[in-house]
Amino acid sequence: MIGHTFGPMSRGDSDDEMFGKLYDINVIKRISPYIWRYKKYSAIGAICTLLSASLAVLIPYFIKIGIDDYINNPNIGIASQKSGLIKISLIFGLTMFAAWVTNYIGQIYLARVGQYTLRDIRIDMFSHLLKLNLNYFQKTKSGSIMSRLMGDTSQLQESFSIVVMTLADILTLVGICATLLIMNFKIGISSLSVVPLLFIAVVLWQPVAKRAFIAVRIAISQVLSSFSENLNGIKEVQNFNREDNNNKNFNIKTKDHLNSALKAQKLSSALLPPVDILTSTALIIAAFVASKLILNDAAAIGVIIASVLYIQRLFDPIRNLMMQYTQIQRSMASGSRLFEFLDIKKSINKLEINMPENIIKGEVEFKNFHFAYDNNIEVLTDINMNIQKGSTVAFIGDTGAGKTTLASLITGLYPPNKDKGKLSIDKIPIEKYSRSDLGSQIAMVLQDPFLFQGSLKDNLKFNHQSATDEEIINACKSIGIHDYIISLENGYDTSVSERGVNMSQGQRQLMGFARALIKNPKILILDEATSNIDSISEQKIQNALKVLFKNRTSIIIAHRLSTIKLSDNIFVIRGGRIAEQGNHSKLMSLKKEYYKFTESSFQN
Amino acid sequence: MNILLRITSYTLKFKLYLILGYICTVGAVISYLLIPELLGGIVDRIDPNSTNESIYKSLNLTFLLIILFSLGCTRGAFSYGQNYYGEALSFKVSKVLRDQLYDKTQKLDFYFHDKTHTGEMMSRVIVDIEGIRMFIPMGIVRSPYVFLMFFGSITLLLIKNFELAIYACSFLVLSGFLAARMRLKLRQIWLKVQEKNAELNALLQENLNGIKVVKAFYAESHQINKFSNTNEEFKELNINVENFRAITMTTVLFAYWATLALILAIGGLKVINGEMSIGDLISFMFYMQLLAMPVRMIGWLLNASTRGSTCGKRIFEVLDTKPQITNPSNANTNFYKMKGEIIFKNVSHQFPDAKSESVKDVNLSIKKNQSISITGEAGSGKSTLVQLLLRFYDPSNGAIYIDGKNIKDIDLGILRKNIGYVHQDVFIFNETFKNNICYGNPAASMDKIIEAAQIAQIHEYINSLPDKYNSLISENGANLSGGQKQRLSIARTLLLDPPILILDDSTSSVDASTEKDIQKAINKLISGRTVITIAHKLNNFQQSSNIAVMNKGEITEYGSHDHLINLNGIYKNIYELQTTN
Repeated sequence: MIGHTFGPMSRGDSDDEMFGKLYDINVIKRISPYIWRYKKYSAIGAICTLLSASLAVLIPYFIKIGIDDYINNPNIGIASQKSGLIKISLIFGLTMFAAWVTNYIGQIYLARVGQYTLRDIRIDMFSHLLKLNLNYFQKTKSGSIMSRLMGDTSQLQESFSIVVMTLADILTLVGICATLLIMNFKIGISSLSVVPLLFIAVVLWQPVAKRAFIAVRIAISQVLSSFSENLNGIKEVQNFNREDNNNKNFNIKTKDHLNSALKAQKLSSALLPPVDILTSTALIIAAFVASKLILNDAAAIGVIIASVLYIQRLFDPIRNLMMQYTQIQRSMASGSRLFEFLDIKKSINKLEINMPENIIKGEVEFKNFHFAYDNNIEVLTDINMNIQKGSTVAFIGDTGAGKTTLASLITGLYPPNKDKGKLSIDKIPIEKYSRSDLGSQIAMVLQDPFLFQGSLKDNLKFNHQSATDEEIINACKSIGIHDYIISLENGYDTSVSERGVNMSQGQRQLMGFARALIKNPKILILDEATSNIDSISEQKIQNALKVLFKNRTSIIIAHRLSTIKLSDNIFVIRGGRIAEQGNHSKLMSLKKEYYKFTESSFQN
Repeated sequence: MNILLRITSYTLKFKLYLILGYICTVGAVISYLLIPELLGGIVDRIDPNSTNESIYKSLNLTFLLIILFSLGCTRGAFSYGQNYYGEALSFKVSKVLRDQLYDKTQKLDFYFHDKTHTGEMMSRVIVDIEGIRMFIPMGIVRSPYVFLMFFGSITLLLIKNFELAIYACSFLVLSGFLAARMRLKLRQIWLKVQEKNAELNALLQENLNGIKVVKAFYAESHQINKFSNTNEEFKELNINVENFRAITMTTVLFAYWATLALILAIGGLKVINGEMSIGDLISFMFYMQLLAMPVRMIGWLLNASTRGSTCGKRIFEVLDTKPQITNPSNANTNFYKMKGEIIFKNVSHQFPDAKSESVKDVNLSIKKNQSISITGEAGSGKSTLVQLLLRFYDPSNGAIYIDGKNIKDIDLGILRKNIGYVHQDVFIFNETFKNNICYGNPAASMDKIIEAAQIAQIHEYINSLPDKYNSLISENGANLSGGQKQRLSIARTLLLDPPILILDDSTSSVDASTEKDIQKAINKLISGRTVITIAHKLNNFQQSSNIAVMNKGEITEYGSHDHLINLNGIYKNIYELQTTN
């Protein structure tokens, strides 16, 4: 079986002390609808697997019939002994053939259900992740999100085949018990009497083991988070010569993990001796009872043989169950964390309200608008602002003044608070737009343009898949990145490495501009997008920006004068309020906030 | 196979565990093999019709049962040992591997890191190491167990009844053939599965990192489609593996079952014909039962070993990567402070997959305590040039000298300790402020740390926090502003007190008033050091005696401000652009 004892690999937060139960009804409840989607496959798979397990249980029984009825039954005459034996052997063989076919069909169908389900869960996770409120990403470590999605789904993956096997094992167990009791009740009941002892042992063992496994989880989580942090901060690590020091720290963490893993392993291995001892105990009881019965002719030799064969197999399912026990627990824990994640509210949903509208003009209006994030601290206070269609406005102010929040609201990244003023686009409240309508008409260029894996062309097109090569090239030419791109070996098909290292910050930002231009939105927002552009490129893109701003409403968040000066209207934001507004010359003549700002940003 | 041998060589580091594991394995096998023989005897003993002349007949039943029980206990003890030592060994090896991988990734150069996705690498750390770990108890400790059991049972079968044993072996041949075929095929599929898995993880990681862009462009459904395609491929590959496994495993199992039926028929006929005793047939059957276990385990074993070798391949690939930047073997490793005189001599650099050189024939000499600036268009090679000085990369041509010594001949640690590098995308560790500031100098005293923070203008902020210097910073400084991160990195560099300082665009991404604060901090930082400043805003150049203008990897203009203005070139252009207010 694929990784039937997958070790403690999933990584959780250190405060995440939850460890799954063997059977978590909530997880089962949540997984069921996924499996239900493939109910036909599941039904076929389950029926075949059960059928095959039941057929396999018959093996010792066939042997018993062969021995008792024919081989060891000289009373019926040699000829019928022989023909009967051959008949029963043939039936035996054919039954096994049926068991083979059903086993195979059962396995592939159930495997399919498992893989389809996992695929669906992964997709749900991923799309849920992308639809989560941005707040979530600020609050949660990306490492722990990664471990959730990655570790937990692969934990589930490990357990799928185990669950199938376990079900077959349980059925086998039931079948064995039943056959033992039916063949000879006295031998059966007396040998089965040891089974409860095993359950007592497991019950005593479990709480102790649980603690040990929690410790392992916490330890591995520390190991992995320190590893991933180091990969991300590798520049600092090498620049500050931390290698040896970090190695020491890391070795302490892996040592901790090793110690807790060894402790947990002692506990899980400890379950093996009781199984072996109880097996032989059951055999002894069976032999003892049988020896008494056989003297009274109350049992035939074949029954005894079959009983011995059954008892030996009785503990195989139990042994398997135990080997899988920790894995099943782990998977339950992973499952419950996965669904907990899927339950995080994506408040953005509220935007998807009936009556879809199209942004045609791009006029934006805030009226007596207030806004607070989840923590209820107001970050925007009494904002009144009217941005005419096709105009260019700038938001300026210190870090944390609320500029980015304003812009994010317009893009629909956060829903406005209820009854706290109005935000409308083309006079229609923003709540009435669907996310895809907003999406088709608004583009935002951020300080970090982030390039995704794939070619430069893929990155330029991004989700605007209908863009033609010509449009792309034209956009790149007017932004001034075309020459650079064609200087690369593969031109527009050059692939981008994750951190876009071979491209400078400025070049990456130009890519961001081109990306926005290709999308051709009605409303364009530049969030500190020009700050990484060097002066020479800046000169290049001044004209490009003018092209970019033409025929659309443009909102610039910037602290670079040359960019700000392109705007028709400037809003100075301070402490979540609009402190000043007007065009450059008006604000300069006021000699207040804006004047001070220009003074500080430029004195050469 | 090579890979599996290499994994095995790791287990040799823990010989005690390996030996104990094997001893327990042998013990478990022996006690396991004795049980059916005893059971056959016991059945014979209690069967009053048995005509067998075995020694069991004469023995006391209670005595036989006691032996059976003690065999059970012995087997229990040995299987504990086998299981524990095998798993313990695997945990020990995985610790060593994790440590080695960590050490390696830390020491690998940027030629490697530029190409490596964090998500992909983490998938190696998590999934591949686990794959290797699982191989150890299964493939190394238990495989002799499986083989011993297998061949032990077969030998006993052959002794019991040669002819029947030959029939039984017919199925073994089939199983063996299937298993061998499976191993070859599975290995290939596994490798693909692991690669796809890593791809999926890399996609996830980059979407996490670029979440803002995804949202800003409303590209969620686009990204979901992309993910979905890879996800679909991953699913298909997995189904492939499962199908393959299902057909092989069920066939092997069927072969075993069918053999039981065959033995019942042939053996039964022999008994009826009087060629064989029923007791012999029974113990033969018991021994056949023994085979069930190794047959089942062969499947696991194959799976574990294919997985182990594919995972091992991916881990050893990293461990075997030779860094292109190497520490000179004969360099002085005792720390010393450099004077800080830097000479770039005909330095060129071309990235491995680039078409043209990113730095072209640069000649530059910087005197001790001199402060120079470099400016130029995006992508003109400024950052690459200073990273050559840090030996993040090595020049493909030419050489760089500090205090007259080629930096390739200087111990890497000492070189980097002498250079402070403040750059744009500082990384802040998920630790306390204190530990972040003393990152390069963990032994620094608290006074020194506070002093550095004060100069970097971040002390007041830290002091305003409830836990002050012991406050924890969240991952990559998510709760800090760009300016705060930058000041923190300045404090970090200050504590290092390097004679050479590189400021790579360190103020460009913060707003004007923050920039002013940072500039103040920088001004304190630069006195008494050799400083290279990369910047776009010319007002950051006030302290510089000389300015270099880079264009397409070359230094095209060099000299004082006045000199460059007179040149009437790029510099003048920028200057005019920035001063026309």
